[in-house]
Amino acid sequence: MVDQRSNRPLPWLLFGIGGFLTAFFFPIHIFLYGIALPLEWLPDPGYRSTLELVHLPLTRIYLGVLLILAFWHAFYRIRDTICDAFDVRPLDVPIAALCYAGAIAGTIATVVILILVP
Amino acid sequence: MPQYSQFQPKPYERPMSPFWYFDRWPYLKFILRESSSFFVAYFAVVILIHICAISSGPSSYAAFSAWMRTPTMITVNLIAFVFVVFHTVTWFMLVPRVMVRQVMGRSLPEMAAAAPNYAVWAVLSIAVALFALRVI
Amino acid sequence: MADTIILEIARFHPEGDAEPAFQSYEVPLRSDWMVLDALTYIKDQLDGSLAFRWSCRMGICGSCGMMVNGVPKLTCETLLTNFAPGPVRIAPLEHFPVVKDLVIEMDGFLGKLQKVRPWIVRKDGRLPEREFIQTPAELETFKQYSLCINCMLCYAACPVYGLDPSFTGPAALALAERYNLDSRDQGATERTDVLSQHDGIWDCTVVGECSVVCPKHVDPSLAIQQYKLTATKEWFKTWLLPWGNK
Repeated sequence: MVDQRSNRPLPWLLFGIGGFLTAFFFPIHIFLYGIALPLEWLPDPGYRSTLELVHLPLTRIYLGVLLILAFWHAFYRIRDTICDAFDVRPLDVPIAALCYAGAIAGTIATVVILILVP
Repeated sequence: MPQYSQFQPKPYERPMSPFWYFDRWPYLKFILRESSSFFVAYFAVVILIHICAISSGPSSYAAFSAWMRTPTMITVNLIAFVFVVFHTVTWFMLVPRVMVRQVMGRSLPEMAAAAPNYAVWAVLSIAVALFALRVI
Repeated sequence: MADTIILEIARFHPEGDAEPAFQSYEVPLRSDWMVLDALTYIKDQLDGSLAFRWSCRMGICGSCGMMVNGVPKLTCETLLTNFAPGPVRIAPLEHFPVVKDLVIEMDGFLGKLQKVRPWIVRKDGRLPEREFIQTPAELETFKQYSLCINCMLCYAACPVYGLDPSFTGPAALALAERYNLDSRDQGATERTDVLSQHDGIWDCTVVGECSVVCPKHVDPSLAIQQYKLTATKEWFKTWLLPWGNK
């Protein structure tokens, strides 16, 4: 009867870890880069300085972990939200497929950009 | 209950409205909390675009910064910020309690399990800010 | 405060009506009445054809669950004056088929309850020679979940159950977890197959309303999330150690 068991545990675990990471780190990221710096509430460190920050291996690893898990967290929730909010549970399988595709695309994009970009 | 037969009236099944979450505030709050996931995915993409823009040179970085300064982007990011903070607050209210109960075998009051998370959130946010503003 | 209050009650006659409709009744507004008292007053004095379930009148049998102004409540525990000046809308428990008036068909729930095997399962199959010893700490791990009175208010509150009636649902899952956590029980593996299905715990999206409406503070949502942690551990064990754990 093992085959009848859902395979949700793995994406759920990623959803959970991603949920913690996004809960801890995303608010400050959005606040800084989406609101405070564009509106000049805080002093902008400037191009050179930010470029240095992006070059640090620590930054790459941190962003890699944060963004990959954020994508898996987001798409796990998006799948359930679409099914519940639009009452389309019969379409769960194609919606799930799209969401997994999205999470995989996000993961690949993150890995590629963080490794290849100079 | 006997099986439906010709002489047995059938129970009435009430249909569920597709807009069920507008019926009660707790349901709407739930849908809003779950909708934060769209904004999480959105801003993750923005961060990736940011990285690409920085690494492509000063002019593309300037173009990106100008784009982030447009009223549309500020508004969208403000909304995203509200939704993501809502995610954080509701996450701290729900998830730590489960882990505490699984490990300790008994329940703590809501705030007792949530409070350390707020402290960690504050510390980590300050740390990220210090890095981002190049104070460190 | 006025002398009377209007109750708008859902009526459905299975042999005549196409769908339920609301009928108004004016009842005395007594300060010590529960909604159930108003309903029994209607049945005694105004309209003997009104059908509804009730029994203990003290919030322990779980029979009198109904929607009161859109919120699932035990009518024996809901003070009538809370809704003054009224009117108060009373409908059968949501997400269940209506048999007649305020009576719902609960076979779906009972089937699910049976499915999760809510009893002490022992592997050896013999009757024990003496009582099982259990420490207070061991009791504490599951006691909260054992307080369920099967009133089904949580099913009425759960939108997931409304959207997908095959969902095992809050009460059944909480009771399954009650037995899984019970130190006297050895049936966790048997229940895993039922709980780990798509319409077991994994349908739950943590709306949390089940725990809000529960009259016994069982917190089924917590039980379900707790079991998700256990189920995830089991899943990893299945895939990483396929030979073990029989």
